[in-house]
Amino acid sequence: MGVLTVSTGTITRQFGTFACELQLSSNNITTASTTMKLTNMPKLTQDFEMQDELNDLSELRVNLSEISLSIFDTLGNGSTLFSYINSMTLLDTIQVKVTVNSGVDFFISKKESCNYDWFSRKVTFKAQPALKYDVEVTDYENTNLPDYVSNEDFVAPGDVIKAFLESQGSNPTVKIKGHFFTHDIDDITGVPVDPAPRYMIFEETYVDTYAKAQDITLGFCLIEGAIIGSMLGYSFYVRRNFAGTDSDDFQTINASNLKSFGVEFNKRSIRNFNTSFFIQDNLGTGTQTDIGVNDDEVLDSQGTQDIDILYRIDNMNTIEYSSGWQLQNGGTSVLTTSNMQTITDNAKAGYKAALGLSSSYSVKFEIFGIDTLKPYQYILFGSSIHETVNGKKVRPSYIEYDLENDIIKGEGYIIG
Amino acid sequence: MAKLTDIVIITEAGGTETLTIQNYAESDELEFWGSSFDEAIDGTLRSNFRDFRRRIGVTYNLCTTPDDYRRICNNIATDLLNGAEYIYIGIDSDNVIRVVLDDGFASRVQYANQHGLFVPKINFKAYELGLDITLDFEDWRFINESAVGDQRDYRYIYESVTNELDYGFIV
Repeated sequence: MGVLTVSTGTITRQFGTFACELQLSSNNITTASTTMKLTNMPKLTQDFEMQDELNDLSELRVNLSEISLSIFDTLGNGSTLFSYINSMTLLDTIQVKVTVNSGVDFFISKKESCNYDWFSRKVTFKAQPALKYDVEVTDYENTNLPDYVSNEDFVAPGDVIKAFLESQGSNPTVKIKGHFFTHDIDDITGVPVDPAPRYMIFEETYVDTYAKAQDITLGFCLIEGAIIGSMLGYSFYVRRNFAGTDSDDFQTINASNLKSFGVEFNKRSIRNFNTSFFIQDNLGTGTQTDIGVNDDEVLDSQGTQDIDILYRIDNMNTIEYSSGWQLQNGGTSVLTTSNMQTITDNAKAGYKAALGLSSSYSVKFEIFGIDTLKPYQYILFGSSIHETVNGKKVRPSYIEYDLENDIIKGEGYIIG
Repeated sequence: MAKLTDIVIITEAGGTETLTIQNYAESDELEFWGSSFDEAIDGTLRSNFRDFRRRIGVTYNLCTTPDDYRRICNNIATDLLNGAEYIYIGIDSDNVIRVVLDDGFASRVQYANQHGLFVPKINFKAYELGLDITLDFEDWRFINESAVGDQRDYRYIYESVTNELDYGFIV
């Protein structure tokens, strides 16, 4: 298979430096390298809003980041980009590597996403992370997981998420915020202080492939009401209603940072909001216990829609320390119903905020400078903007990094 | 050094060619990232200044070399239509910059006092950003060609050479 590598080189822009490289892989292409010119800077977007399928809010999906590219058709070698794309099959892939300052993102596109405009002499297309296309991710291996001792092949849930996020892009900066399980490899490889705590873990056999890690990560996203994404060199998992006070958790936005902002009032007509979130603990051979909560809530007896979200994460285990960390055989799980109620409460609070059920309005904003707000941060509005948003915490539900204009556009909901 | 009457234009199609002109003007204009500035909601401004970009205008009150003009225009068009990203222009082949055609091109024929005039104009815009002043020019309006170097600054013209001034001066 031949690979045509097309690159912009490093471009200096208002926000710093930018570089883009395409790799067109196809049996119909001869391996070569050349240059290209963008007609304008791309936009990096991600829609974190809860998406409903066929107006059924119970069918949720996780959105991915996306990049829109517009490239002059004529390449540095005199050939046209469109002719190369035209020679590809529908199954061939176009890998897009984008470097914004030091952050690197990878996206995948296909022939079907490309358009050519004769008058403006440019090719435009959109690309998304590999997750969408079931492209084989080759850098998720056991070595991605923390380096466990051989006879203790236990993996903390946070480390599964971390290993999955590290597989997105090239050495991304991983951010996990608001995840319920906070223990990691250091807690389950050393000798604990007496009395030894117990932890929930996965046996490595359940997390040793990218597909398994993906299922687990997306499952946690669902039961924790978290968003997940990969943008600007960050790979992140953040609970929607997480409002931490660490300086990395949020960004204070004042009037001088805002090009514009506006408020929209939402009303959804939800009757019942029911969740059933469970985690399975394989306590002993053949003994599987589901720990969880059925949480039924009537929001509006006159509502026209119901939300029913049901999910269970399988194959976790309680481990205990007895002359070494080992699977607990029998007994009760370290995970309690109270723990699951906390997870459920947080998830529902996040979903309600995102759906506009806990606040009557959402916020639209334009912020100067693409480096002002990281994609995983929430906004803490300053005190001199407008009485509707002063001091409010807003989690973006949609974010667009407009590299051409060095502006962040977005929408968000109130989380505090 | 002669008066500036000839401009060098270099194209793939025509090589190095000389265009006789009457007026040549350069101007360096501001380039912005989009608009010149953005205004925050509290009234503070973010400057979007990017760099300078040079524009060049070549005009005639009366073009006396229409064949050269036509040939050079065709060569510029050939280059740009064939995919060239720029052509070169300068006062001589050692002082050229990369340019593309800009708006405002005109080839006008007019009759004044029953005399026909061919009055063309070509505008160029620098292909690259940035200030790079390469034209080493002097103000020739008040100096004749025989003036020695230290006499060329018109602020210090000696009386002995004033009768050599060639412009706006009647002996």
